[in-house]
Amino acid sequence: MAFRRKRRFFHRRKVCRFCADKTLEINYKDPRTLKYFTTERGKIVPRRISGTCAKHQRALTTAIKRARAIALMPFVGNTPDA
Amino acid sequence: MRRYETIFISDPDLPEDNRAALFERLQGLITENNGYIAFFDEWGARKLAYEVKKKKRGYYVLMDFCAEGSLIAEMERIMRIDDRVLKFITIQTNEDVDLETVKEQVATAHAEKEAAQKAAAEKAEAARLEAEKLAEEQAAKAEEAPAEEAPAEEAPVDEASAEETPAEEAPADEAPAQDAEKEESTEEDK
Ligand SMILES: [Zn+2]
Repeated sequence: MAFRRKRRFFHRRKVCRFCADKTLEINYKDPRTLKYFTTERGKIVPRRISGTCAKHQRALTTAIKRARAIALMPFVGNTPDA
Repeated sequence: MRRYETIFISDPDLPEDNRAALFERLQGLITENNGYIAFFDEWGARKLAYEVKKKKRGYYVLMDFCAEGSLIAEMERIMRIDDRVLKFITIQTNEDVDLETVKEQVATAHAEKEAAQKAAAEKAEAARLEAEKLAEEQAAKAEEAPAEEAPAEEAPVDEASAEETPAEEAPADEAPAQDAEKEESTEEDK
């Protein structure tokens, strides 16, 4: 059990960005904010990495998928500098 | 009545009149079916995240409107057939809205926007007056200075250069007014 507790990676910010900053909105029309929660390849960053809470991760996922549908964000690849 | 938001991407290479015709058709479709268009917001041509129908750019339009649910199917059917429309997405933003309330909201939004524009224009005017005043002062100084030291011939030269200053400064001061006006669209354009 002891080796399990060994912390190999430093702690990422554990707070949800949307809970911390109430003014920050999740909107599918705003790819600039959403871009932050995707990888360079365009995948949605899992919440264990980003620290986003479940509620906001759900909203985020929907927003990113909508943004992809209307070509504001890519399914694969880089988000254009929108 | 429900409130919807439709973003559609029209062909960026469309001639201006053809695009206007397309917009009119879609707007007409909504209003003829007892819908109400709250906002018709043209984002303009911007880069697509991926190619759509071999196009790398698209002309984005956001329609915020109230309508009955049955209209959406018809509108999407039309957009699917019309090849001037590359892509579209419709999202319901409110399940049950009161038309009068929405109209009031729209009126307030327009009033606010106008007030903001007016304020920006006034600010620009004030800045312009300030610049003019400053230039006049400078001109006055320039007149005084050569009168004491230099021969009178040089005075007109200084005067001319001082007069140029307001002309150069004024457009720069007006710029923020335009920025505020187009703030939303430019943000999206980039
Ligand atoms: Zn949260």
